[in-house]
Amino acid sequence: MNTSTTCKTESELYENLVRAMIKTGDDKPVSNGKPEHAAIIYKLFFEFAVSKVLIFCKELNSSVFGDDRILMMAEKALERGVTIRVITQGLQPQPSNFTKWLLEKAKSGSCVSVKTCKVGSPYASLPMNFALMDEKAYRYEANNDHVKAVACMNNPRITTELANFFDTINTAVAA
Amino acid sequence: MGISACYHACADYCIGHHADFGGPHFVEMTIGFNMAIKGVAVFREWISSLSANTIRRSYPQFASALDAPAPRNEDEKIIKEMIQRAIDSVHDTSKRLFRIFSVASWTCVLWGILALYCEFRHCSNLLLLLVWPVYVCIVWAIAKRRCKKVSEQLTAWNVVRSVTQTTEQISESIAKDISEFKKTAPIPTAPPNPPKKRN
Repeated sequence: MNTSTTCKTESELYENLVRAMIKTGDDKPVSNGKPEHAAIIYKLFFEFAVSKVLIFCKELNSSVFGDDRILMMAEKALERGVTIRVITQGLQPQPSNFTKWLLEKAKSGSCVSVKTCKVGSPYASLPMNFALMDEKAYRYEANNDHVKAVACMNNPRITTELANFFDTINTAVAA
Repeated sequence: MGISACYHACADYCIGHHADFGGPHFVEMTIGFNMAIKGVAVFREWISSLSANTIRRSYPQFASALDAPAPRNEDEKIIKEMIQRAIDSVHDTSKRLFRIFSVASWTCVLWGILALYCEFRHCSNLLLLLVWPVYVCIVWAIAKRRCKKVSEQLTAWNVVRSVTQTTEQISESIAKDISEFKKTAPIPTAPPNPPKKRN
């Protein structure tokens, strides 16, 4: 694993390490306890996604999705034909350039969909949040009140299980 | 130290025996040269131990990786590589600096010889006294700075690797969360297709 020694901030180093893990197919769990770490993981998901990125979250928190590098990578992912599906839990998504772009793209009928769980539905009060990249990587937050999650850049088994759960929620939201 | 001894051998000759260009002073100078070479080797060791000890003290959890003769797993290999790269970079910098300071030091020696005739030799002594401590201080500062950088890298590595659960435990925990939720929540069904409008 090659990690650059010229980086300055801890976040940059974190990003380098996680990127290296994606490239090498490292299946060890990755910790992330800060909004910046979450932003890095979302950014890397969009950067490396081949077919899809699925996000189930509370409200597209602007402290995470306000990072414009996520938007930049999402745009590139969409150009590559990556499907982006987002489900928020009943609350209006927090304003950010990413949210604005996402809603515009969803309206224009591209490979982007943004759905919101109905207030009072069991899915709206689900404590867990998660994001998936292809059938490979996941980020899982057991309690969405705390930005403390575990991620893995190469675990098809858990990712598939969460993708099935995402489909279940998606069906329920559409129903 | 070696360079200093060499200088003093030279200075002794210039100051005390300038009229007598005798053989014993060449022996002194040779010893001085050898000491200088040895001194560089000792200094390199010092840099290595300074770098390694700083990391060992700051990050005791990485000490085992640092001390293991061969890495036992992928993590240890990465940590060892990071630390080794930092130490190597300090060595490279110190080597480059050593060349510069050697030139400066020998310039002082030559100046000392020249100063003999100008009666300013005390100035060259002072300069030589300053040159090597400054070199040591600069290398020490570089080593510390480099160690700080590698420490930051190790911090990031620590953050990435701070998950205490195994993949299996995480998998079980996620599966449990999902199944527990499914037990309480209604199973959603896809909406029926709306009847097609007849024209």
